[in-house]
Amino acid sequence: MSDIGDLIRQKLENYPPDVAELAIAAIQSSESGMPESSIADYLENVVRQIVRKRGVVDE
Amino acid sequence: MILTKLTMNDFRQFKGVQQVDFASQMGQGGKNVTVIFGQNGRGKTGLFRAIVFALYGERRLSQDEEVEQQELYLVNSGAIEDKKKEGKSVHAYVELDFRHKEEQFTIKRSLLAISDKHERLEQLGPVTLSHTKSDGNTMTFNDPEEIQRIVNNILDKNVKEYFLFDGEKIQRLTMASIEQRKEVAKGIKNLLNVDALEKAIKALQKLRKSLNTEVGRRATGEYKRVVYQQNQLDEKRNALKARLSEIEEEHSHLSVEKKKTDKLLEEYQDILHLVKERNDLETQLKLQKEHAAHLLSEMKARTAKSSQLLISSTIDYVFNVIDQKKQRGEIPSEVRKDLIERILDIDHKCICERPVLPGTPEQSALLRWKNKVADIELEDSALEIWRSLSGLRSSRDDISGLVETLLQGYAVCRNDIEKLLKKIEDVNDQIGASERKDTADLEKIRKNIEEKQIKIEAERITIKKELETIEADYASLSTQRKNLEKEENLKNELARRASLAEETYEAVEQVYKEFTDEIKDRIAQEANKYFAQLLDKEGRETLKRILVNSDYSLQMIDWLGKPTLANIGAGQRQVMSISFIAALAKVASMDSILEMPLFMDTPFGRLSYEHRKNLLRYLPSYCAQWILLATDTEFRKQEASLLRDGGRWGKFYVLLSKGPGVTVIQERDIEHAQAMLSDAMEEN
Amino acid sequence: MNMSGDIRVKTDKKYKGLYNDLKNLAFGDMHELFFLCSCLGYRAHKSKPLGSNGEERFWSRTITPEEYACFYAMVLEKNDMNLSTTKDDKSVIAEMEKYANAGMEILLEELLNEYCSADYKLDSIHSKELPRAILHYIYEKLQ
Repeated sequence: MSDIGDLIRQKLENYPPDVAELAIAAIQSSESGMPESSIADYLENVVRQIVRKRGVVDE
Repeated sequence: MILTKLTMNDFRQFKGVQQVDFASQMGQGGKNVTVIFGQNGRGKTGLFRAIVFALYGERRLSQDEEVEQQELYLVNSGAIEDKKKEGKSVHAYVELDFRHKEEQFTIKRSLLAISDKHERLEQLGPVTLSHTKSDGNTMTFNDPEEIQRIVNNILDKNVKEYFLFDGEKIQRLTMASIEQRKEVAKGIKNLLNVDALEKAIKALQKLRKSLNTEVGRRATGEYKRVVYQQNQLDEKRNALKARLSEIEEEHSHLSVEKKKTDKLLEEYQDILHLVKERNDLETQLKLQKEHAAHLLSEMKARTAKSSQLLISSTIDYVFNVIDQKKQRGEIPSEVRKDLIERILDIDHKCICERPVLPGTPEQSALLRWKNKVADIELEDSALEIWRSLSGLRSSRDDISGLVETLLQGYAVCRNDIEKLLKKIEDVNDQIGASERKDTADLEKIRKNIEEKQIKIEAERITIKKELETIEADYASLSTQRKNLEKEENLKNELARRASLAEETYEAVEQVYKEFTDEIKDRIAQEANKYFAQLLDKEGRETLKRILVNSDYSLQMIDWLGKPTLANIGAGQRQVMSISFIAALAKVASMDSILEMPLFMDTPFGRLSYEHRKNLLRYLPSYCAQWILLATDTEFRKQEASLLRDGGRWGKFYVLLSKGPGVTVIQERDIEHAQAMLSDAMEEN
Repeated sequence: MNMSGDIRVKTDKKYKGLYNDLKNLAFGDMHELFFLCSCLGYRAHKSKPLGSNGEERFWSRTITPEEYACFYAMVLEKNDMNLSTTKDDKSVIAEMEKYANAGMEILLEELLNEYCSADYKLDSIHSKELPRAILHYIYEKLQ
């Protein structure tokens, strides 16, 4: 992540870890130049992974 | 991005292969200043063009706005002519080597040109980019779009104007139109990665919406109702935010329109007295023209009477003869002819009984009388003629006088008309050629604008209040939702995902707001530091600080605390822009030096000596690389001395003319540079 | 000298258009132009017979008594004050026609050629100030 991104990362440390994780994933994928629609799909996967890691019971 | 080498082949004035190695040592004390020196027309801007062309494939610079596309040639004309003789085309190219984050890049862009008798054709050729990573591996790209994406990531083309600029045009950055500022803001956001944040927010919003919709679809009962309401509120919130954005734009546009109208009104007030003067003159002109027409009509009516003046002598002669005859009693005759004939031929005696016999004196006298007497009809005619001629004679002076008066009067009138026409022309020139509206119309327009502004301001306040309510309601619903989730032990994955997306979206939004506020403040802070260093003494007294607006456009605040950007001079504007760019670079690199070249094409033209001095002293430490193109009037012994004393000057090139349309680039030793530069009088 | 009104006064047919145009633009009626031309011709001692080019132009009834008086004066002076030369209006008018014919040539040469084409068509656009030009012409001649 860029130098500016580090500043943002610092701020995100004030939030719960899974929020910070998803946020950073969103920012990094935006920085990479991925098209917007692809980012949303990518983030759906990220969310799924984060939530599963927390051990939530499946539907 | 740090430029290391520029190679050109038959590009613009640079015939054949020519090269510039840029001073590119980063870090404290490193030599990072390259000076390219040449008189006007030698090709300094050509170098700038080469870099812009290589990086972005752009043929035009902002200064080319008024140049027709077909007049803008990039390939060297001499080379084309040489190849024309051989019946071949020219393969020109520009190759730029640069460094970015310790990785090497080379971009090469080609042009094909050919000329026949009738026209000259230039065509873009292929572009390649090779990227050597820090591990030594090299990748080569040939797809123009991908190459552009890579380059834009390093230096977005919308931001390039801030780092690669023509010093004459730098002030335009502070005078940009709303559209330009938007584009620039976009580019700056990219540089600062704010762009990435905004994209992330949009993506999270989309994610949130998609997950909430899914949850709403699958949820039941109270939970479903809450999710549904949240989704509704979210949609309404998005719509209101979009409308708010529109209102901001509309407001900006109306402000601009109002300023324009006010300016017109102001101008109109200035010219109001001129307009009145012109109206008066036009009225006078109309009257004079009517008078002239009347005089012409009078002259027309007098022509016949005037014509008789041409035969005045004839009239006088005939009149006098008849008059004399009259006086002599010949006309009308004192004695009637028939009486004389009776005396002579019948009575042979006069009425006094005196005999009148042939041969006597009496008879002779009577015969003489008889001969003199004309017949009655002719006598009457003569008398008629005499009377008419008498009338003509008596009116002669009047006619003559009148003719003279009419002619003089007409001459004066025409002269007055000419004078009035000239005065009206002068007044019109003063008023100017611009389309003027009556003050009443302008006032009306202004009033409409104000009414619209009031209306949209009211709408904005309403929307903001509504948004506050929505936020509050949304927050309340979020709490309800969380509680419901807890109560109903809703730990299903979907709900959790939706919740996470929601929280993350709000978090990133909040971070964005804090971040952008901080960044803008920091940019302003740094810009003001640089500004204080670069500005001359007089400027420091009147110009207090730079303000950075939310769209990253700039405003200057004066010592009275008032906005004064419109009033500052071109040189000060330039210094302001440079301070902003330096601040941008500093903030973007998080207090280290941003790896970005500052490429300045003749920036000193509008700068006073003190400004130049400050720039030369401080700029090498503000930026990673400074490439300065200068003319002989801008870069003299004094400037060279200052730069040399700074210890950062690494390369010196001179552009020399070798014939029409041909420039060669020659490297010169910096130590001996001063010998070839001109002197200048000591400036205050 | 009857100041007859039933005589058809003739001019050269080539001046037909000119008489018509000038009648509207610079003179009250054709007789005024005719009168000016007669005076010009007489003053310059020039007369030119119409011959076969003569064409009726206007009625003599439009000629004013003052103009007639001038015609008679010219005829009298020319004929040593022989009053009988004024008896026949037809012959007076005929004399004036010759003077007017010559006078029109003088007027064209000295003034009107500037305002009309080779075929005696008046340029009405540039002839708006003709009344002034003619009056000025007369005035100049008197100086």
